Amino acid sequence: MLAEFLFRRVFYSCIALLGLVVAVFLLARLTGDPSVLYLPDTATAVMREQFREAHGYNDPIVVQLGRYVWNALHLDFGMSLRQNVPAMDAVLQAFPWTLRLAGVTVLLAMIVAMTIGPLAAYRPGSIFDRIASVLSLAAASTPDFWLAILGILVFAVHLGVLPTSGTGGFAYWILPIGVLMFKITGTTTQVVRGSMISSLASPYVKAARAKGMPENRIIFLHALRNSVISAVTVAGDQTRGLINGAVIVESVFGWPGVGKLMIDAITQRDFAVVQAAVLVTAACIFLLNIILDLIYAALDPRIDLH
Amino acid sequence: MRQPGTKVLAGVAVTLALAGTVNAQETDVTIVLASEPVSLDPCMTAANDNGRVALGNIFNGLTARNPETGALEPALASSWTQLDGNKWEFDLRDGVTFHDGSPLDAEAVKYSIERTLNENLTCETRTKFFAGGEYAVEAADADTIVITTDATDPILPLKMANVMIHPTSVPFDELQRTAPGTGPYVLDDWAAGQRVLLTRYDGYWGETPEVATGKFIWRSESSVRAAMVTQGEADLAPSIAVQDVTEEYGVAYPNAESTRLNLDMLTPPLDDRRIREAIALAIDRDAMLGTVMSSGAEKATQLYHPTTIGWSDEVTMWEYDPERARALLDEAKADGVPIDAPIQFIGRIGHFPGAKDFHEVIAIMLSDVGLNVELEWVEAAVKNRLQVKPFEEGRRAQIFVDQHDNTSGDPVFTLPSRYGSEGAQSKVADPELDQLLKEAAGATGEARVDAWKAAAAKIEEILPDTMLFHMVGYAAIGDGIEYTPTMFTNSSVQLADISLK
Amino acid sequence: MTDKTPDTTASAPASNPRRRYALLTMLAGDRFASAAACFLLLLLFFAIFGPALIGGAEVRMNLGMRNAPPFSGENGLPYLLGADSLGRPILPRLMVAARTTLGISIGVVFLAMCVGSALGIVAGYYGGRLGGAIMRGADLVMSFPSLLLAVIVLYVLEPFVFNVVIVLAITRIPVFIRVARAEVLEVKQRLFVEAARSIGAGDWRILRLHITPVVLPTLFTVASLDLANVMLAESSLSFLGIGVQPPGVTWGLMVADGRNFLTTAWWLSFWPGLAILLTALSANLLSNWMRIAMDPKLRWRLEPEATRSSAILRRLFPARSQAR
Repeated sequence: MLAEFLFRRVFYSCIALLGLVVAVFLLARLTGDPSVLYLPDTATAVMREQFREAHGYNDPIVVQLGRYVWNALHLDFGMSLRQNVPAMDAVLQAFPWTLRLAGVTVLLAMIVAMTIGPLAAYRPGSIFDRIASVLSLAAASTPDFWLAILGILVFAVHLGVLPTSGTGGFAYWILPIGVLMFKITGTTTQVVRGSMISSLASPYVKAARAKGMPENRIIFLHALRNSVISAVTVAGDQTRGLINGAVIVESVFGWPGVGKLMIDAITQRDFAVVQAAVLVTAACIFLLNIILDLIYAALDPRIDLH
Repeated sequence: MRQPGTKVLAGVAVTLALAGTVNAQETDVTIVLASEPVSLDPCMTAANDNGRVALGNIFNGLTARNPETGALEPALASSWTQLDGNKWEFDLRDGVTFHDGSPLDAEAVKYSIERTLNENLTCETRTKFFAGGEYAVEAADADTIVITTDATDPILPLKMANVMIHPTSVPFDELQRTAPGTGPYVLDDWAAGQRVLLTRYDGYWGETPEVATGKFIWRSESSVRAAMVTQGEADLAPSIAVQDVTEEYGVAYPNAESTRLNLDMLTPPLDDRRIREAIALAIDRDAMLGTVMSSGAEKATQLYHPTTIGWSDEVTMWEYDPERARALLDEAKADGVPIDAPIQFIGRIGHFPGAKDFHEVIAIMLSDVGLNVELEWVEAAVKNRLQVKPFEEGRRAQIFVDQHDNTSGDPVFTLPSRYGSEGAQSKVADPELDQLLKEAAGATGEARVDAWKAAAAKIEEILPDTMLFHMVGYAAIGDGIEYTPTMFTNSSVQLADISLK
Repeated sequence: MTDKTPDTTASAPASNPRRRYALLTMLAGDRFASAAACFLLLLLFFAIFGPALIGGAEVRMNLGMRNAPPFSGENGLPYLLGADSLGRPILPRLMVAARTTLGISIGVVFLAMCVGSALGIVAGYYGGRLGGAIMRGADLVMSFPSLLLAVIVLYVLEPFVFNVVIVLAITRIPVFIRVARAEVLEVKQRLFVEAARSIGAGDWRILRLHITPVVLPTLFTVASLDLANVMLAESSLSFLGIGVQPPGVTWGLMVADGRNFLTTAWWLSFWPGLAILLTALSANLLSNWMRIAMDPKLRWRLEPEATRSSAILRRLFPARSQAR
């Protein structure tokens, strides 16, 4: 059953990937011809024509697409017009940076949310609950670029305890992760809190209480376990967002991730890189979806994989 | 190099140690730019993003310009002479080797020039400096190169300052990530998205520079670049916004950029000269200085600096006169000019630090005198497409904010493409001006100066655009180094010009 | 409601006046919720009448007042919160921006909700190939980097307010599809739907009279929670320079522009940021309260208070729909 499930999901994912590649190929072409960007504004019409001819932009769009898909099936994803390296290499170099950032951020956010959420839910309407709710909501509605610049000014410039930006040792991770965590922690805390409140009010918790089960056990064994499913779902959604690029945080902190690469590439009309980047991130997201489904099935026996 | 966090308390020393921000060798320098270079191919250095890293660091041309005086100096060519009107001879410097160990010879120079002019390559240098013209290159002997042009080209030595010389091992028909050059630094490592590392080349032909390694990094936000210098994480940020300048670290310098409003004089209502004059009168340049832009900027009358040959002091400096502007508009309206027609005011996203305020202020000033201006932001690709021929059919009238840097010292890189009837982004088609431009481009000495001045006067008569400012850039310079930014800093940050304290 | 089928408890909330009055009393009883309601009403007032009241003060440039600090007193009421980098007073700008900001975020959420719910309800009710196709489409949009999509679309189209709305709506649609579908899947098993079907009610009638009214409250809650997300997304577009264009102004744009002056003039980005936060907070508090206030009517959710919110959260993040 598991094998069949996996096979089916992988098969559908591949079809979806193909659809995605075609979509991104056509959408990117709509943004116009790279010749205006790669040649200075003094270049003559003849030079532009030479450029278009040399890079195949004069062929009908269908021919270009066919050529791209054919080459992609042979694992040739084209050259980056801008960097003059294979597009896939550029993406695979950037992607681990984003993936690591996303992984650590989501993990830490989950830990914080799974601590604050249940505590707030334990006494709904209490002072702690109100404060936690307002803070988590505030965290979820702060623009991240604003937070990022503020973080740099406070922690790097005024306090001087953290480096401003860039990559390197442990300290370089603190600000980007802190900024990204804000929104995710806020959202996840709210979800965990809500789900926890309902678990605590559910018949089986009442039954457990009636049987005289210790309160700790009730919270951690029954109610919390139930909330994990919602937390995993929301964390999954957030991870998806991060894999697609923490564009703004990456660009403020000079983080060499795939989100910034992708936006730079489309701004520069470097189509091969855009396509490769979407392909890699989407493949990763489809993989994540499959893993999430397996986690649900493990957490909740009522879910079967059909 | 300063250690970061001088204000740090003892208690956070652990964090600091973990931070390990600087590998503080005395002779290392870190430079933070706004964007990553695109390519370090020798023929792509004409783009500022690339040139800032590669020009004069990795590569040299046959000639070079003195950063302070702007005078043309020998580089890889020790001397040059004009054999006749169309022929130039360059003698190569002795004892120069490329980074790969091969010696500099006439073959390599011939190969480099021909590769730069190769039409199969999208070569920035060719499109920027060698549009039109035919060039035949011969190696007369191992140390002499002769270049023949199809038309008289009195500024060929100047153009050669932009052709970077590399060995014949560089593929002719394919752009490279980089190539061996003759400069004082070798590209050691380029971690895409993170940094470019240059290390000193021991076999350099010139004086050995002080800086042993130069690390180029990039951050998109000006405030972050400035913070990196104040925190000692970087030694030099060549371009920051005026609000990020601190007394301790900020230095203003003329960055060779000049701004203008490029007016669409082919479309009503801008096809009427009175409207264009009204625009020139509607802008309160003095109010902008010291507010939305640096007080160090200068009001411009021409698109190149007064140090450029042929700069004319007879061109009108427009003063702010909204009453006169409104009167001109009324007059035009009475003659049936559709002054209410909407005008697109097109700016480029992130064009220069503070561009946003700059554009908004001008749009508001133009609206104030009664023009129907709609500010619209586009990205570089769109603006470039709109600005060059073929122009869109049936468009609304357009105004572009244009920024142009001509560090070459000669108007030939500015005027023909913008005002000649053949020019790629020219909306002017005036036979008399064409004639003047052609004469100027072929003239030498005093005649050249006079011809450019005549062209400038003719341009003022036509009034195809509104000159605004010669801009000022700001650099943040750290405690550990001494560096004087010049008009060339925007296009090349030469590590050899940096000295250590 | 003139419905004749047996179980109609789910439709037509608060239709009689006495019930409405009771709701108001209940609202007054909750300090937080009533404060939130007042704030939102105030915003709505500014959004509708603000531009007329202020009469252009928000675009009046005064370079002499550039980055004037807040609470300095002598500059008069418009400059109470300081002035921006062109010397325009911030307070009137905030009020005028309320219209564009709310217009965009409500427009986006409304558009996404209409399209997404319709597709989700169809996917949930009919299932099969059509449902599968809709869900795969939603997956596709979700796996497409939303900012990249926005950048591409805004490069192709011009960044007019309308296009910004469309772009943001596209990226929000999948959420509503998933929520609506999951809700419908559950509702359609219920007794009253079965009953309606057994007495021969057509699909359209069942969808219109029995399913949509039950699903709608959940969708409204999701929508209210999404308001802040949309404001932030719009702000991100402004950060990249492709959002709403001047002289138009939104809070997101004000934050994005103000970031350049964080060291020298924090108030440029602080006030609009605070406005976004307070709006999000109010929408959230009010929707939480409404969830509880409306709950007793929805009898199929047995436990008041708690279950409702968790049910909504489950619809928001339906684990099951993935593993179908």
